[in-house]
Amino acid sequence: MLRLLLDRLVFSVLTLLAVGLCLFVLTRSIAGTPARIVLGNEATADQIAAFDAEHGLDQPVFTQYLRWVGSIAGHLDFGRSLLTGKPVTETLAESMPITLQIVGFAFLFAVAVALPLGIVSACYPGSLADHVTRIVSVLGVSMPGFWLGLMLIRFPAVEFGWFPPGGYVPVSEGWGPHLQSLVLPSFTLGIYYIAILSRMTRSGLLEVRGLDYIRTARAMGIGRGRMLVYALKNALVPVVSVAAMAFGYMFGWALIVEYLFNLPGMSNGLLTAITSRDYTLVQAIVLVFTMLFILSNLVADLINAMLNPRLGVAR
Amino acid sequence: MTAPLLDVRGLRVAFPMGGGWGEAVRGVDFAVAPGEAVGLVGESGSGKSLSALAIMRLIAAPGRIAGGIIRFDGQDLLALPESGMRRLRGRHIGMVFQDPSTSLNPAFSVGQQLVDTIRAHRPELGRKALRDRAAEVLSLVGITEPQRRLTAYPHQFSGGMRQRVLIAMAIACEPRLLIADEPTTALDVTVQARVVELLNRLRQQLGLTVLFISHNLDLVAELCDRVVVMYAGQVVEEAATVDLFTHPRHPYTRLLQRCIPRLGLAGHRLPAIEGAPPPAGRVPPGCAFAERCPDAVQRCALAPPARRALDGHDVACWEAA
Amino acid sequence: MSGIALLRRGRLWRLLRDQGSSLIGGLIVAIVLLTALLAPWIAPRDPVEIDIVNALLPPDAEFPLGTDQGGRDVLSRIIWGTRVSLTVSLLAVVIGVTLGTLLGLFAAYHRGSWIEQVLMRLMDMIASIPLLIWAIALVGIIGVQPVTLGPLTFDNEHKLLVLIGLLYVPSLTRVTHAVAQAEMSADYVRARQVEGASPIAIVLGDVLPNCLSPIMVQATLLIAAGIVVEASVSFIGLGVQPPRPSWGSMLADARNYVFSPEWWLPVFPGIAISLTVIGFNLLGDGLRDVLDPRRVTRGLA
Repeated sequence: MLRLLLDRLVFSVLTLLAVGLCLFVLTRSIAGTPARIVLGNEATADQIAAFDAEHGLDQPVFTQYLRWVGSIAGHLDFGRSLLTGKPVTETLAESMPITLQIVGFAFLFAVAVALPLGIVSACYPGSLADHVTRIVSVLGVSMPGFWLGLMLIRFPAVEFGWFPPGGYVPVSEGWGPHLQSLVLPSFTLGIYYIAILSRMTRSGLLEVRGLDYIRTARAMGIGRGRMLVYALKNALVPVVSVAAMAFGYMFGWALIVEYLFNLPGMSNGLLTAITSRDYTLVQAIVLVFTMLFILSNLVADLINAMLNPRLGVAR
Repeated sequence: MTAPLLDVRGLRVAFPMGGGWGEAVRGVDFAVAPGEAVGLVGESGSGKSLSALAIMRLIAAPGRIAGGIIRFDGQDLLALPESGMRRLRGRHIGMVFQDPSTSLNPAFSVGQQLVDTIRAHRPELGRKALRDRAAEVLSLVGITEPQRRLTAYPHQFSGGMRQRVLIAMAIACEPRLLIADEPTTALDVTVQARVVELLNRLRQQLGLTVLFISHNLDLVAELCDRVVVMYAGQVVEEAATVDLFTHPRHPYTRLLQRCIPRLGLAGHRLPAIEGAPPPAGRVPPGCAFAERCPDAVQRCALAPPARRALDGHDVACWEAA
Repeated sequence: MSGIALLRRGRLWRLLRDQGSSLIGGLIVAIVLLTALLAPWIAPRDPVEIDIVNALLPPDAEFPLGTDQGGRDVLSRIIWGTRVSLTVSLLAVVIGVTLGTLLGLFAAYHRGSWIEQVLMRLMDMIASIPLLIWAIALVGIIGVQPVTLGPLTFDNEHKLLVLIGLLYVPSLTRVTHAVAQAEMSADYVRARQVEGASPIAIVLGDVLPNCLSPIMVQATLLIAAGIVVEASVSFIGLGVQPPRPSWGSMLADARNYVFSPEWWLPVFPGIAISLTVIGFNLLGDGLRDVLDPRRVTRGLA
């Protein structure tokens, strides 16, 4: 178990370093001279040299990378925005909670709906609940989230006025409005994962249901509730690891959802940074997303090892 | 003769087949007296395992019990509601299955699975008492250091050990009847003998009644008092073990006997019965065995033979004498 | 007699029950492919030309799905959008399948050696990149304007499809590797080696054909994913550039009309995307049941 943990941890860090280097080199090489973007086309060569020296851009790319990694690892310093001079960490501190909140809600919502749906439809195959689950799962994976969101804005929000059509209401303006402003984004983000997870739960349970050890448990007279636990603990192994990975994927789709609902989260920050060509900010935000993604993959692996005694504890 | 503990009459098990139902068990009768060990033998596909599952009412859908009566201790099991059946399983009838490598839940420790079995029938026991009882049955089936082994997971046990654990689960609540469905088939030959030894010991020690299902006549001979031979979903011969082995009456029994592997005869080709039993739902109108029978005569193909008593045997064959 | 008829009817019914949804999927895919191929002939109007007089007309006999803010026929734009959408997702999958298959076979051929280790670990690394965010960031940094390389001009969607294709490589490499390494140790491969067949002949002639089924399943599902990714990126303005018709950018335009009564603007392009994706997903699931009973292809795209 410890060995596995260490192995995964080392690999994650290596991945992050390698991927970070790619990101860094790509942005640096494609972006051209940030000085031109910031200072404009009229800037003199001297001004550009001064700008580069100030931001350490005159160093070789690899040195710049090491310095970047060093300051991030050392004191979580992602540098300053080339445009505004504002520390990137500050921008992240403002926007990250919003993104985390939306993804968190969407994740909880997805799991809270998907598991019961999957369990009910596996326990009563062919029932109405089963058909509903299957339709939801086909539609959920096929409807692009942003279109669903657009429909939700158009009908329940604009036409019927049940929810705000977009924008973020901070908690300081009351919990009710705050939560209300998060309902549609979380729903939009979560529906795809409801589809995926409920389907996996269903097929996992159906697969397990016919296995010998479930028959053994029945032959021992074990009660219905306990039987479900017996089946679930096995059937949920793939579901849980996919759910943990889904948490990472959700940050990607949160980008579209934040754009659609006009939420001042991290992804919207990324889009703003892209349009204003603020590459320090782009780099930092993409790196943070990648970290979150790798972290959730790591958690997925660990949960898998914990749930599956054959991988973990045993020799 | 005392009233049987288990009495199976006219049992039928059917599966949906090409629009209709095909019967894999076609009217099986046998009884097991208290304290007795009965062997149920036959080739694979003879319906012996299905009969055992039917007794536990564990036939997996879409299969179903299509008819017959199963009495356990005078109680009609087929009339029992599922909840009553659940209380009976594991408590009064224990069952052990063929493949120990897949029959234990891989995600739970052996101790947990034992504890769950015991708790299902004795909810009044506390944690400590449950664990103690679990350890006790583990040592009863010959597992050393039972307290320590409780926390181990199934994959940490060998095949034979797993089968011991399953037997421990089956007897944990001191059932009166133990159904062992091919408990040795998936094991090495040396381990097979030890499992049968264990069953024999438990029989003496706990006064268990045993229904032992196997296609290995040697093992059956070692354990059982009486043997029921099945073919194509029906009983073809039934007799006390000694009688059956010394004077088999049904040609099928005779052929089966010739197929037993014998030590010391290595190098000889093991004779197998030629052909295969008819698939369920396609049983010919006459004797089901007629097609493969060396002694078959014309009438065998015309009408099925009825069971009749013959010097202490019960045999379903036109030609047996 | 009637027994046989019953059996036949039962079989047809079972086929429909088990494979009905994949038949529907195949039908949808066929229609979508035909639409994309025949777009110039079946689209009733020009998808690009502005006709301000007819702006924002609701669906009627002349414009079955209404017109947009530029007076362009929504139906014609959707039909042409099929082309763009399928080009991006199909070509991305072609890139992914080509590279993924080659790498997967290469790794399987070197099974047990450090080459396999390094390659598969590298794939794990690439797989831990959040696809959508990287695609958006990179396109954003490169810029959405066309790029000229020698005699060739690459539109923004070409950049996008190359990126998506590259990010598909790990999953296809894994699938190929999983099947191919099992095949490599099969007896028939040994037999071929004993016969003296060259490694390349064995890998391409014997192992590859056995990997095709799961690759096809995975590819079909990735096409569906690609359509959604293209539409999403176009929706935020970093994909297909106006005035070219694409489903995502049509929805981006429609976003400006959520507060107005023109309901047809967001509804129809979304239905087009959803139907197409449903088609590929159903087909992929059906193919998986038939071609990949061992479920090598699993997980989410």
